Amino acid sequence: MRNVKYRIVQIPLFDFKGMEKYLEDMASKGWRLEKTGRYVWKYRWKEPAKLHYAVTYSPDASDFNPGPTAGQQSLEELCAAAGWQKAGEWSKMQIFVSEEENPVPLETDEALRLEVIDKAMGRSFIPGAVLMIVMGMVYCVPNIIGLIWNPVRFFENGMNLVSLVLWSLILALYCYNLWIYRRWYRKSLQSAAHGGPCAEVGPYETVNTAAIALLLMIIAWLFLIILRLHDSSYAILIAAHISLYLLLLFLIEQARKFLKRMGASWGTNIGALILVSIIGSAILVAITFGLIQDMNSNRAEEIQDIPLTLEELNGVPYEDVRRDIFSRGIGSFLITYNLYWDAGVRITPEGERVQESLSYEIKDVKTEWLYGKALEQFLEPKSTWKPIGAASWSADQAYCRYRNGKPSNTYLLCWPGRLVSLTLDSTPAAEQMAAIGRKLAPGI
Amino acid sequence: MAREKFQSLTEQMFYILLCLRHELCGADIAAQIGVMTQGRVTVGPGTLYNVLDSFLQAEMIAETKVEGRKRSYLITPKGREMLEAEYRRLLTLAADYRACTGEEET
Repeated sequence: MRNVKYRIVQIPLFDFKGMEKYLEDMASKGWRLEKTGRYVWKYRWKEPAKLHYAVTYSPDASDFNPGPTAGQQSLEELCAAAGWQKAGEWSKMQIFVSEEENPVPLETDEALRLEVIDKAMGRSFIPGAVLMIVMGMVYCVPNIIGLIWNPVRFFENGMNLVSLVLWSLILALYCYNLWIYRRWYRKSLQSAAHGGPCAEVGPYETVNTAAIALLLMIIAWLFLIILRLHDSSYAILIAAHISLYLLLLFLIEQARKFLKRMGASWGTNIGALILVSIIGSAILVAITFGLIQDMNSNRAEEIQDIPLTLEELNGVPYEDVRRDIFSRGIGSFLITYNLYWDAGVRITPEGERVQESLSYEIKDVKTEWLYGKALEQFLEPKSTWKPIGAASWSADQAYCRYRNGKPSNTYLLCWPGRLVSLTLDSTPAAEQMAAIGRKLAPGI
Repeated sequence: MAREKFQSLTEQMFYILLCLRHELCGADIAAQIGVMTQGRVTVGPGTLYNVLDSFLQAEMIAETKVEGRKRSYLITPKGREMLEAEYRRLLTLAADYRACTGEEET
């Protein structure tokens, strides 16, 4: 049997009753708290025992202090005199343990306890939660506005929807935890005013566990979208980005511990970590951007297969062929958008080298409502587009763009669920229109 | 209605101030209060720490000695005034009680 186990902390920082009960339950099963971490705590096996755990708070305590403050040392001395030994600390929470059968309670004034808890939360839990809520709103509000004003552009990039759902979940979770705290505090204040104990916190574990499970499902959903719509290189890129981000968090935490061991002051520790975070984030962005650039340049050399090539359109061979595909984001289950570009050199019968190119956008839209919106966007401004015969293209509808009253070589072709906009070097012949219709219609 | 800070003292605050009329180490305060009140009043170490911290910030007590983790304290003139005010308040309560119950008995 292993004599060490690790557990993720799921108890809110202010829930001292929940924490005491949890640690006492663990001790009764033989697991004693050995070390507290930021998210994961370590327990060591010893014989089951009926221990008493008690929690108090030190508003001056900080993970960035080089060691216990004078206040913390004083608290530990007073607790030791009363038979309580320090078992660990977690942010502002100080955990003590007693093996006595009926130890003196650590706290004997509930109103004062509540006052200290609120002070401690005001320096830890609340600013953190408020910051996450503000970040959530900064992300969600513009995206919601974007969703309302330009749903086509919003849904073209599956990351928009995934990120909006993700940040909405984070926003809701932090609002919920903040609300739980304020509700508990108000109830405790009322109770303490009448000489009663602090209130029970109420259910939070189920909600928090469900939220974490949902978060993981969303990340899995993101990977599924990527794998369905793109080759595995995108999934590898996202996985690499997440891994680098986790590595950065790990390095920042190790830097904090190192500075603490070296005796760096609170200010030096915080300042250094902010610097490491900024530099690390910049490196992470640079690496990710570099990987994307590298991926795209490799793709430009490797791309051979696009729906319609210059050779297929014109029926002649080309030299120095260059092709590219541009996708707006990773696409989503509602819309995918790809821009194709093909360029090459045609050798004329006279031996002349003529540079030619072909570009076209394909937008596949799954719902009628979005299809209508996408068509509206394509036909902006309306005055420049005129309907033309669609039969030659084997399409349902076709439009030509006019410039200065004259038809250009830019066309919009419409099929159920698909919109194609393309620009040619010259007015297409009937065979070319037929080839385009054959190659670009949906279901090919 | 919430009490204004130190407008009136809790029993624990009262006895802590009373003990600190003479210099005393923090760790000995709880034991002295137990003796003084024959075990009627208990002050937990967490509460003791928070009260001492509040008193220090309000300049009702002063730290006189630091020996490792042990700290000693002594009441200040401001602290004596607050203790005296609380004593007078308790006497007023007692007098009002005697006045009311005395009238009922007669």
